[in-house]
Amino acid sequence: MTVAPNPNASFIDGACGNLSLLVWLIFIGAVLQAGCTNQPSQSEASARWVAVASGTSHALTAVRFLDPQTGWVSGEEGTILHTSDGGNTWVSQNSQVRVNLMGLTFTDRNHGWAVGDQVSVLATQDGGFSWRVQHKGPENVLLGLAFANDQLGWAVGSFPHIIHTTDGGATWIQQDSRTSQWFTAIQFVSPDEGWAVGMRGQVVHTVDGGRTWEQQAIFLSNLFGLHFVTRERGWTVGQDGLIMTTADGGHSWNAQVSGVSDELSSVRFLDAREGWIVGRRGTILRTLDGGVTWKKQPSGTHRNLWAVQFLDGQHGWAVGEAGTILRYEAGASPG
Amino acid sequence: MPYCYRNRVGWAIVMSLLAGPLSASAVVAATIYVGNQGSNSISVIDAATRRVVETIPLSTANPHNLTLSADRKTLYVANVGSHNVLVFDVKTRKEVASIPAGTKTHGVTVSPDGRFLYTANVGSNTVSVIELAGYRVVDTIEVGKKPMLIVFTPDGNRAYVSNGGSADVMVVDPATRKVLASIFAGKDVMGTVITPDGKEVWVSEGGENMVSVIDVASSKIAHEISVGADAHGLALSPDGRLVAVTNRGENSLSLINVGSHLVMDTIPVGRRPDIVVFSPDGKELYVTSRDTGTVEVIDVAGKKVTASIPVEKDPHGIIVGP
Repeated sequence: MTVAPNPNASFIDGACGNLSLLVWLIFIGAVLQAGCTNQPSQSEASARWVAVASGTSHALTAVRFLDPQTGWVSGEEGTILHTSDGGNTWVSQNSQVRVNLMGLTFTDRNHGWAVGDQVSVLATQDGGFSWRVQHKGPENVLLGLAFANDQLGWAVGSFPHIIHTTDGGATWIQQDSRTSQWFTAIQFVSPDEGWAVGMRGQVVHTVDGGRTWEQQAIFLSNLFGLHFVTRERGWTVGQDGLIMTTADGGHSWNAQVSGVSDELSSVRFLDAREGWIVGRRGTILRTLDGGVTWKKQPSGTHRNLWAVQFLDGQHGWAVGEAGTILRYEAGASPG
Repeated sequence: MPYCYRNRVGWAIVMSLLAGPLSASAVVAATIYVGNQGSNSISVIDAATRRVVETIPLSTANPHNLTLSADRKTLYVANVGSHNVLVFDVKTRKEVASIPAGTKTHGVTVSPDGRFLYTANVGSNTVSVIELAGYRVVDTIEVGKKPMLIVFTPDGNRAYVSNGGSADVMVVDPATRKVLASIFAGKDVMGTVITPDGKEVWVSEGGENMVSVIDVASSKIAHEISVGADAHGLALSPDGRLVAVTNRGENSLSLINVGSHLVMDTIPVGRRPDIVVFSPDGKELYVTSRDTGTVEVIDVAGKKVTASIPVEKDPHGIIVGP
């Protein structure tokens, strides 16, 4: 969102000039107010979440957009949907499987992966026109994945280790997490440094691509969402409305007040200040001050929401139960 | 005939031809038995037609939970108001025996070997062991406060008893009929299911709005799963992939992925939905809705209620038979 003064207006013009100056000062004050606090501006106040038709009743658990037009969502029973018009229309892609696909990522318009039940790893090299099963295991579930590029990737699930590929998913090896808990989400900020979070509040960290993982923290609640905007600044969210944040790469964590007791499932920050969280019962939270204050946003749904993604301040999506897809429509900037 | 009308008629004929055989084969042939607490009766429902084919009046009070024998030829009904178990022949739908059990007989489960019926007696804090060969109580096991339900491991070597009043799950050795361990669970622990591999016992905790997963090997709670308000009845899908739990306090049902322990869907259903069972093919769920006096049918794939079958007052226990 940008707000600009009228370039044709003069600063000093007699009595009217004094009035203009007063208006201008008020205007500047308002802009500063909006920029420095968690108060939404006029255009932000008109922003809203809008439900778009997905054409499926299956739960959607992951969302990945590469640009404002191009995106994919995945979910139950092998569901993968693709849009090339910003989410106005969604086309089903043939995933070749009927398992629940819990995680999804793309490194570019062609290379993508989806993971889910039975340790299934699906891959596409053509934007999802064709998906193939790269890997399949016996009984566990993959819940999250992260790719640093089209070769280096990691995945987590209902087992206490982390799996890693160096060949685009063709083969996977186990990395020792040094814990006994499952992991639900993983993120790498570089090919070397990453974090994973999961059940019983486990947070683990690596600086060598996962060759060694160290336990950074244990919180009381299960953790489901994770996002670092830099190698220092990150957030994790979970059960009972838990939000934890770090400013030193996870060495120390502080709690933030979510104001809700529902489970929070996904977190995404645009920068160190603006962030979004989604969770149970249609919960959507937003902060404009790095999480010092979180405010509940009207989502228009009571369905549980699984995942959120923002490309920038204008373009965001959230997905959830019963084929729910919400699109963030930023308010129009004043003339 | 106008073109568009002709097209519509033709399309309707094609659709009806397609829909006929599909819908007939989509619903598995099965019989649903429902205990109506408020009218002391059993409703017998044909799952395919969604019709109550018989209502059996009971001589006892407040039928609560039901189960079938291992060969599925006999129906057992726990009567919380008359402290006994009624035995029905499934084929004739006639009462063949009445077995006195403990005070406020709440839950009934047949041991995997088919020889014994265990009842959880909420009023006497006991589990009665009934030998089915003679329909007599052969042992009484002291358990926790307000025992609700019992589930056996597939090999029959352990039984797990949910004690709603003492917020724990007790591990019982059926060979010695001794309590081996008590696992602290949560307030109002009730529903119990066990995974087909026998590795996990799942219990609902209505006072916590949770489902807890007990690791059988360590006898510890492995995970706690947030669900809806007043989580109550539990059911495991025939393929072992899903657990359904009713949320009585918010008129919904949560579907949980067994592999990931994550709630995949929450489906609005009935009013005060209580006990739930899967259809034999796992495609449908049948839920007793106590305040509407109905059995609600949920299409698992479609995530919605597709039928509401009126039964009698305050339906509670439900089981699917042949």
